[in-house]
Amino acid sequence: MSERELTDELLAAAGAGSSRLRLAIACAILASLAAIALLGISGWFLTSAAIAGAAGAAAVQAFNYLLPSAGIRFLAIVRTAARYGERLLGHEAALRAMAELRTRLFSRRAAEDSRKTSIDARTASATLLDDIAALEDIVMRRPAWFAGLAGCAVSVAFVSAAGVWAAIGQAAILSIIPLIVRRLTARLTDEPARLCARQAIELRTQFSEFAASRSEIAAYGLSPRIVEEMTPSWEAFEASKQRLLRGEAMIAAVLSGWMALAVGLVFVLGEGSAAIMAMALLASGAGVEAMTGFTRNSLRQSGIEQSLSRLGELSKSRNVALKYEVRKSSAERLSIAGHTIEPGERVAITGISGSGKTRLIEALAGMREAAHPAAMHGVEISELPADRLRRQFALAPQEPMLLVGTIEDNLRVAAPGLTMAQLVEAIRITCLEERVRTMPDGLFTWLGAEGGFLSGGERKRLSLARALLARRPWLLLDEPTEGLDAQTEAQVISNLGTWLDQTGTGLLLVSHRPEPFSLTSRSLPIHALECCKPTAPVT
Amino acid sequence: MVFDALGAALFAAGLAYGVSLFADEHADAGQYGLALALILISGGVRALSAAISDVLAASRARTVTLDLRRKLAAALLGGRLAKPIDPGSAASIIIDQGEAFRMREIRFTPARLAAGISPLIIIALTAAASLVAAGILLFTFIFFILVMILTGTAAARESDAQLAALTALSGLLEDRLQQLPIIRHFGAEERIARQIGQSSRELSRRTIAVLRKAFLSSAALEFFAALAVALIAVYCGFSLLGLLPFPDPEQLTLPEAFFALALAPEFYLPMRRLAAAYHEKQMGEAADKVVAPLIEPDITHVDRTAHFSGLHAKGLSIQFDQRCIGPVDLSIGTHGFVALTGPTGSGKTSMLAAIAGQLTPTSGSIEVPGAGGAPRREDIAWAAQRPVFLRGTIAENIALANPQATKEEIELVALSVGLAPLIEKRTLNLQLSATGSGISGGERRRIGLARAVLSGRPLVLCDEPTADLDDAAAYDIAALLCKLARERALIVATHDPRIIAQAQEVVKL
Repeated sequence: MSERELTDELLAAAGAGSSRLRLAIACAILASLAAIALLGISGWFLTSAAIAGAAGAAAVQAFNYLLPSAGIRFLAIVRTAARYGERLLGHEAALRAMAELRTRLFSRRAAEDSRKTSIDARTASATLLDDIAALEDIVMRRPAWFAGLAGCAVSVAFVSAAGVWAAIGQAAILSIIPLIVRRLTARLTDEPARLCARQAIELRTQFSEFAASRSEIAAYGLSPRIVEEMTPSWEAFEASKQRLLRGEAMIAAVLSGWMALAVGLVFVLGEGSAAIMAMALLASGAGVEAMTGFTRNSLRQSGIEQSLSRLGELSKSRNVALKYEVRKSSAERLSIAGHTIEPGERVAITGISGSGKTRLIEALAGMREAAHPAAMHGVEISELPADRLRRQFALAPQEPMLLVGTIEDNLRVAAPGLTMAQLVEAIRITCLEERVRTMPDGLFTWLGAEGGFLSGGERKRLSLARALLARRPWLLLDEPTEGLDAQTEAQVISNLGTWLDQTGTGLLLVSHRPEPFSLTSRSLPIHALECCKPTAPVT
Repeated sequence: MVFDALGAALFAAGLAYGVSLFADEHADAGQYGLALALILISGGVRALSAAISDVLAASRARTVTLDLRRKLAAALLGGRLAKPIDPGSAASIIIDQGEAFRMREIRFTPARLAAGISPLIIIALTAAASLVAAGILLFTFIFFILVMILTGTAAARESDAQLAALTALSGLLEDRLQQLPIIRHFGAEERIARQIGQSSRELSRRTIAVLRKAFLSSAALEFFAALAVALIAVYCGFSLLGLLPFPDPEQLTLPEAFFALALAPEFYLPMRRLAAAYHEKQMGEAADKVVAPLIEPDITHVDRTAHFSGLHAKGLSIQFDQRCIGPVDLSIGTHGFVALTGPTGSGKTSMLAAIAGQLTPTSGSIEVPGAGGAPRREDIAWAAQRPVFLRGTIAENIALANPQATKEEIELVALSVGLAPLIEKRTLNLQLSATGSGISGGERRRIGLARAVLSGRPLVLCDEPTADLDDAAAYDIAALLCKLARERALIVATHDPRIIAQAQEVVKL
């Protein structure tokens, strides 16, 4: 499918902004017409006036100057208003459509199964955002594309007043422009552009690596060495960049000189009175300007079709994020590689680091493919829908996985319809009450990315509070007291114990610290579990 | 761009001459040829001037970018920062902000210069043909400036605010997309999708309101540009008809009038180009804000002649982004073992960096007794959690800390830190790559320690030396540190109880 068809499909799916876009296109066409007409008629008027003036008073009397002079002023106003309308409506259309599309695409992406996505969330997110930005750019430039086309047509119409040959010449020279630009782009800028993009990524990775070792580099004064090491990459990047810029300069130069060529052609081929020639010459020049605008807007970025088809695929997906129906689920019996765990039991999962404890926990939570055999109520968890799994388990992961937003926002992720009292209770259990009270905005304090200004231990506790609020039959805890000092740890564990007793929630615990094990009655060493071959790449 | 204006004038002259020839019945082919030549040559002049000015701008921009990059690399990889910068952001600063500087140099700076010079040239040339037409251009320009002053700055401010809001929204979407696994786990997909929808729609509403005003300034540009053409056309026409409502100040001829008309659109063209480069200006200013604090010269006082005789840190604390690390009181002599402890994420590495003079503490002091200042950089060795590798042999990599070391010294140190198995298996001449493939985490850590030992520096700062190591390796490293502490001053950031047990003094973060 072409870029245009893909864009149209996505816009239709967005269901917003299309009427505005049509209006914007109409304005763009009108502005283009008015611009060319303004110059053409001005030239005609001025020349006719000169000829009439030179011919004598009678000619002046016969000359209808009111209409053209009024027309010229009118066209100036129309051009201004139409351009304003084009820009405003075009942006409006793009913004509205993109707002709807963002929601639509997010909803469909969210409905996917975490276990089945092979790309990690970070890369997938970056790709989707880039694709969305590319689409937004295309939609914003749509009206200008039509304006360019209309301008060309109108300029040919005006030039045709100077004869058929002039019109053909004008049409020919206008249609060559995009071809030339495409040719030049392919020869001069495509490859450097690709190289630049690739080299930039390499530079980024390389520099990040070194920046991670900043302290060491600073201590030993190694930065000249590092700069030396990176010099080949930088120089390669600079070389590609300079090639790209020079290529773009060439293309711009050709375009700027093209206008003279077009006007020269009309000059040679045109025939008619001086006034008609004046009109044709000025209209020809304006037409070339319109065409260069059109060409600039129709130059496709490489890879745009891939972006658009990715978005199209996602947009067409039938799976949409569904409302979470709050249901009380009864606890299921678990079986992990043959060991049975009854509802309400509290089990510690132990084993040396790297043995897959976190993997097992996340698999139970429905976030990863299982590497160890595990079953719920007799059915392997890989066969169960993610919804069944998440209704059983509430996870406080090793990486806290907090959201950008207020503390309240983060807590409310756990379940819909939570009361303030419940949020405060969860904060109390995880010993965050005092800390939250020191914040001027309390629970409404904004957290930046990944927990913002909270310390490691505070983030862990917030993540734990969130898991508690979900009120699922099983609690999955992965290193819950990491980053806590002994006193706070003891308090949190004690509160947790009470909470588990009161709610009868089952517990699966992974911890390298000893204190949390006071909660568990049994341990399941992971090296005793058979490992089946992992079915998804380990990130 | 001076030549561009001249090229435009040539074009207008060719057109004017040509049109006057069409009006003249006695024109001959030679004269037509001249008009055509003027037109075509003008195209060449404009093309050439565009190419040259772009290429010159590109190489000027290159110089600016190279200079900036040099300064940023020095600041980001060494020197003192006001607050820690994560590696991804550091890479983004040197690459993306560098490019923002470049693009501003290429697109905005020449455009701004042109917008100052070209209009003057055009007015001068127009005046040569018709003073009134030049007057009309000036007249519209003055009004344009007034309107710009009224609408332009307000629009610019709002547009900047909108850019910030748009960045925030896309940051929010990015965050939600990245955290989708946990969002799905808690069943919050639909709620969050709705929130995103609301935020997006709200932002688009606010943006449209801002744009209505922001686009007024560009509409003003369009209006006065169109008005200039219209007024000149109408004035010239009426003047040529002899129908002016006031006494004709000049006797216009067709070529003069047409020249003025053909040149009129060129007057506002530089300003149009400037408006088109506004985005580059914004990006450049944003880059300025990020880069300026980084490349400021360091004015902290360090006595370069004082030898290291120990260290006293009092009330040392670092604050940034609502985080507060410390305050910490720490004392160490010329040898000894101090453990700096605290839970993961509590800022131990940052505190160590502050002691090393790489991070500016918000309050407190570090002093070498008798020196009146902080320890010298050349007295501090850093044993990193993940030591950096450059292309070269293991020996060369260890010697990064002390390029004068002999082969024997290097080998001795390598053995003393427990790299014997590696040396036996692969020898010190094993080539390392930056990724360090083929070297285990423990071995890499030991190479870092070897560096610290080989450097001979009196103060050794150690960052989490036993992280991710098994028991045997951890005890090994602990013993190593103990031995080292007999000759050097050791400050070790760790939460490993095995290390803490060996320390003479424990400082809690």
